[in-house]
Amino acid sequence: MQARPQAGQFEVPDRGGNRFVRHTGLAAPYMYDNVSTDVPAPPAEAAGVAHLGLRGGDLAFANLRWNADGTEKQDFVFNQEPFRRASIMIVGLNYGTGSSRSTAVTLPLAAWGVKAYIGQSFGPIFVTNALQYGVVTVQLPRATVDRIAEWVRANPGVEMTVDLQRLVVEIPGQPPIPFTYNERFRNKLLNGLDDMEEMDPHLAAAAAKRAEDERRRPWVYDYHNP
Amino acid sequence: MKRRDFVRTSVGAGFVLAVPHRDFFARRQARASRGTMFDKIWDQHIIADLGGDDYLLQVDRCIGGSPNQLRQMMAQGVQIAHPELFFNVPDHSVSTDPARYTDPELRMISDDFNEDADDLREMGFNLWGQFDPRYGIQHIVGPETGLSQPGMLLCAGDSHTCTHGAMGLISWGGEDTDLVLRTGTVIRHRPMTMRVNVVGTLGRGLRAKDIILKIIADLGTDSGNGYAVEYAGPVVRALPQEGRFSICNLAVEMASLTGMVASDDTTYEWLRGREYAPSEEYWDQAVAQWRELHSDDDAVFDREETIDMSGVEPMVTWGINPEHAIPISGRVPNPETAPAVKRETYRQAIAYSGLTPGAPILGTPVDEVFIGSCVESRISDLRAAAEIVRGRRVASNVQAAWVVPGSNATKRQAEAEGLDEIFLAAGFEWREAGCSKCYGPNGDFVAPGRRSISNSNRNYIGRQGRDTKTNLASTTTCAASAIEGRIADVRNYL
Repeated sequence: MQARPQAGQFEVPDRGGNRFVRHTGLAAPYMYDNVSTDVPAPPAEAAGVAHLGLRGGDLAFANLRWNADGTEKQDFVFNQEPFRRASIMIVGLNYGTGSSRSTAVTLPLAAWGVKAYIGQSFGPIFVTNALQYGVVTVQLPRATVDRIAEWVRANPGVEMTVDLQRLVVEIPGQPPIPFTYNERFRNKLLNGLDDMEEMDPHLAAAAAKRAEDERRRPWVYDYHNP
Repeated sequence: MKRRDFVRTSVGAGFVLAVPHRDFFARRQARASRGTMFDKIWDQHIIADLGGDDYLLQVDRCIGGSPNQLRQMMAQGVQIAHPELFFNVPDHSVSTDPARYTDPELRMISDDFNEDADDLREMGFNLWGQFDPRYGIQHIVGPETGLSQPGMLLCAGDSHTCTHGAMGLISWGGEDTDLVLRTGTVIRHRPMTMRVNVVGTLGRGLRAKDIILKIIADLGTDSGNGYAVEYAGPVVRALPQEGRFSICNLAVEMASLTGMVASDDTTYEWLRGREYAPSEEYWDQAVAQWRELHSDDDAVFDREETIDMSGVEPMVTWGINPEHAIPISGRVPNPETAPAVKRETYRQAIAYSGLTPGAPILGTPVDEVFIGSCVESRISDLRAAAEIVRGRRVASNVQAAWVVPGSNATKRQAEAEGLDEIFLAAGFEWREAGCSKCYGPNGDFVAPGRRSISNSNRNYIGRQGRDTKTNLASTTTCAASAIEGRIADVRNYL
């Protein structure tokens, strides 16, 4: 049996300007709908694991992953072989909805190196957080996602590839599955662009707009009223 | 994107691919103002069109939580262009224990303000710590102090920033406030627009929270994904301003970018005279502009929905996300007879909640009761809860029944009205302002394994604590349930 990856095994980069071109790895199915960030990223005290002294990636999915005594819950997918080495998550509808916690991206990244999600849809804030850490959220119709999840269960230990350059998911022995991606997000990921690089050329225009707007809506700029 | 926007294509081996229909792209290219309130405010804030429906937008206010990001940025030598936009109210990580001002350990958890707080203030940042009379939950105090005004574009870190949309403004949460501080701008994809028209007659004992739970139950926790949602119709129009906040607060629980209600006289009367409201010098000019910021009669929305509140009962959730809301006389659904697409999540919800499929939700015993959070912890909510519990006692099986006011100002007002005495006499704990058990990196959470009926906004797995089961309901349903020790029908208390 493969040893559990140790906390801190996968590096979490600084926020912003991170690249993603392609990623090959094992996938784990977690096919529930409307999974909020509370699930992958619970606060340690609320998850009842503060006494275990877990840090970083070991907090990922803490409620579902650890018993109160620190042993693993066997029914959680990342506690099962071969999924404990998975770095691609196959998810359902509206994954990562709820709070704006970027730890919903960084904790699974630290724990298992989760670099790619394939799902029916994603919470809007989760998508922008993932972008900042060089993590992709591939959106496909439910029937396709279901088939991928089925394939993963039937082919444990076989890796797949998410290729953002060519916009395909590649599964051994299957025709490539094309997907679409927000072109601006794709460009940023392929080139590792920071948001500031996009904003910089427009900051003079922003200042001009603010000056003009101050004449139109003076009360908005009356910050320290009273 | 709707189903009809897709063309289904088989790519072999049983894989079905749906690619967007070309008309969808044609419509996308044309995504522009079509006369909605959202369009009007969005367009007024555009600095640059970045292509592909992405825009650089001007930010008017940033009302956020912990000042730690500021500290980090300054330690890194990052230049902060717009300190004046930023209002900082550390709410999530603050204990609401009344001893927080004196107990050294609680002060440590509570006091998000280090020795450098005054330095930060001198640099022009607005920092309101727990000792500040204006302190409270950021989404309560933003409007309460008059910082959130119609027509603004407001963004912050916390996802419930959508609450402010009830003032007739655009607001959302997301963790990129560092860039707002550096530039006074934000980049966002222009969402589609949706209008939810709430019609009919609101039944006795129903509150704004019941309306939004009904909307999410009918449309789904994912229904707003990709949209900015305007809540409209006669039922919303008739709501007091404070109820409108409760509706917009849960806009993010339908995964929308933001929720909004058009401003009107109700809004203006509520706002006028508040600390940061426009001064009298500008008031008439401001109101004249705000009156233009409503959806035109011929406005076109990408999606319109109608929710009829006639005959709707008080709502309560049974499961693990907000769409799992049913009428108070309803029964816990059976996953095996649920629609196929819902089955897997329903099974997980039943296993987690410990409820029996087919059992009535009414009468389910509760271990804890939580009244607080950015949904309904304003003075009108506390008054309504106090009316229910006046002269009654919290049931003996309830291990913890808390009332947590949304702000220091709300707490002062409630105490001036004697509401604290009513709660205390009934056996509730009367806490200090803060986020408390809604989300607990602050020491406040529901004890492991317990069931809590909560007037907050999230019932996801582990949200309120380890293996805790949350039933979301209105403030008054929570109050009535505290008295009975089980999920109760508030209409029996009116």
